[in-house]
Amino acid sequence: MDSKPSFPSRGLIIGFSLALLSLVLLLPTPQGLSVEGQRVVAIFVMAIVLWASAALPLSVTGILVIAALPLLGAMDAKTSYSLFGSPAVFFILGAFILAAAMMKTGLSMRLSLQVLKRFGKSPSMLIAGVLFTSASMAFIMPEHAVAAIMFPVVLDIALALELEPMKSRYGTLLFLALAWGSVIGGIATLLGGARNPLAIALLSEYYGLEVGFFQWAVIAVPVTIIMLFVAFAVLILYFGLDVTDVSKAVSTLERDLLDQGDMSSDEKKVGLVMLATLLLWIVVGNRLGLANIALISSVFLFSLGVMDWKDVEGYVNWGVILMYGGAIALGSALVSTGAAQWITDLFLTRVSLSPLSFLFALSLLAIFLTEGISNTATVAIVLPIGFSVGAALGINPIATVFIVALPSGLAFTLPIATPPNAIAYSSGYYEISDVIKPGLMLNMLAWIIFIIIALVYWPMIGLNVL
Amino acid sequence: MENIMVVFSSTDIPQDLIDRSIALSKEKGAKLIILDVRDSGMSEKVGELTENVGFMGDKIVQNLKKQISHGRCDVIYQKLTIIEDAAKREGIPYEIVVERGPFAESILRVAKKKNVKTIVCQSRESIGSHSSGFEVLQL
Repeated sequence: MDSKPSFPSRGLIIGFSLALLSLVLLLPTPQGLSVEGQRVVAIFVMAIVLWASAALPLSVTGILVIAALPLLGAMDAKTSYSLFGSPAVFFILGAFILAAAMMKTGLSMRLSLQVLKRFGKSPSMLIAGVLFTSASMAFIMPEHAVAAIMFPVVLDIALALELEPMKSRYGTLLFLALAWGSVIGGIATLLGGARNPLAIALLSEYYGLEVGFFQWAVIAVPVTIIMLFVAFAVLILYFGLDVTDVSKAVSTLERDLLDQGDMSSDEKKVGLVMLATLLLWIVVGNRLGLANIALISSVFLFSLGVMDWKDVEGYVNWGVILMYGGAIALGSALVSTGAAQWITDLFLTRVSLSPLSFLFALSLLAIFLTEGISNTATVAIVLPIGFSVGAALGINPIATVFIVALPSGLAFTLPIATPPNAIAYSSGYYEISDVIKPGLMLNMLAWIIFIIIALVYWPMIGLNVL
Repeated sequence: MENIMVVFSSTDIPQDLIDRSIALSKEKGAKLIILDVRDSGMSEKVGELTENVGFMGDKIVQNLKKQISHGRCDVIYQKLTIIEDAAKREGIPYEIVVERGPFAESILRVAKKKNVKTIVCQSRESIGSHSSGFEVLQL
């Protein structure tokens, strides 16, 4: 399980991406495409190879894109660099600082233990508990952070129950419940995965349309709820239970909770700030701006003495801003130079597509692409094309956001797909081969459920796909 | 007394590896060296993915890596007690050795140091060209 290729192959991939860039630049400009558009297409092709292969860190590819756009004359430098200033980037920054405060004070661990201990009545209930706790925590913080928090908790349970790695089916169930719960919860709100704000930032860049915090949750939460039940059924029916008593696990959870001690004043402060922030996002998020609320809340955490700058440096990875700046700049350049329209025309003259088949194909592409590459990269690559093709077919662009962003978050099979899967796999309780069949099964079920929700539920709340 | 070494490197310690090494030690009247090779590869890889793809900060990543390493140590320790108990039951002299580092090099180093004649390990854990000078039984 490697997140990036080894040096010789990394060099080859980077060389290949640069060769592709040069090739597209040297080709005669196709009819219907401007010279600037051709340059953007060349950069887009290079970025697809680099983001998909992770030959360079995703954030470094973001920097390369930002610099290449003005360097190749596809966009002026002022515009290119200004796209780092997207509100979505600052929303992510604020959300990461809030999550950091919950982790630093131990509030996130306390919440997880409090929720989980209520489920320890039977082996199946405990699995449901791990799924539900991971998912609900991913409503308010990044799913990757949730998996990192839940890992020692679930490991403690496995050790308390003396589950044998590679042999205990219950051990596999526990760690898969942790991974799948985090993944499923990560699509529910704008806080679960940074790809969600990226998707709405691209929507704003392309169409000037906004999706609010509450609106996102109303559209996405039903998928999460149904998927949690389906994931639970797949886990129990596919693996079966080989444990009858989980009382030792409950004792472990109670001991872990006791170790946390009484709730500290810092935890209370963070809890209040988090609650107030969520309320503001839901009630006045559209009016005040999600990013503004996130940033002001972060300032509150500093003012209350809960966080200092060193904490932010320790908990927040600044690479996220570079990756998103690059993706937003590229998306913007694809539209402003007419490159996106040209790609759409090229595509639609070769493939006959109805709005319904567009929904099927794009969501299926996203759900399987995200098994091989980062889900953020999937959104950055697929959504710009999805917008253009969708527009030509008369698809509501807000629906296109969800057709790409939700399936892009649903990776259940491979450890390389997303950190929660990798973290669960690192427990050593199962082999990759153990999860291929149930993971793919869940991928297909997720796709079917997503299609049903899109066609039946979304129109009921006023979001028409077709 | 001849020394036989059984090698583990992951959380998967198959029963037949335990049975085979115990039986062989009993048959040859040999001392059993139980080698547990721990490399930090898994925690490093997961940490890298969490940092580069999950965009988590260094504190989260370092803590996660520590948890993964400790977790794997705990489950391996649980397994090692099984082979230790089996050796005790059969009255076979044994010694547990824990090494950190690359798999093949660690085996070679311990095998030379402990004057081992036979190495028993899983088939997938190839020690390849490093194994010259020892009898290697791969299951």
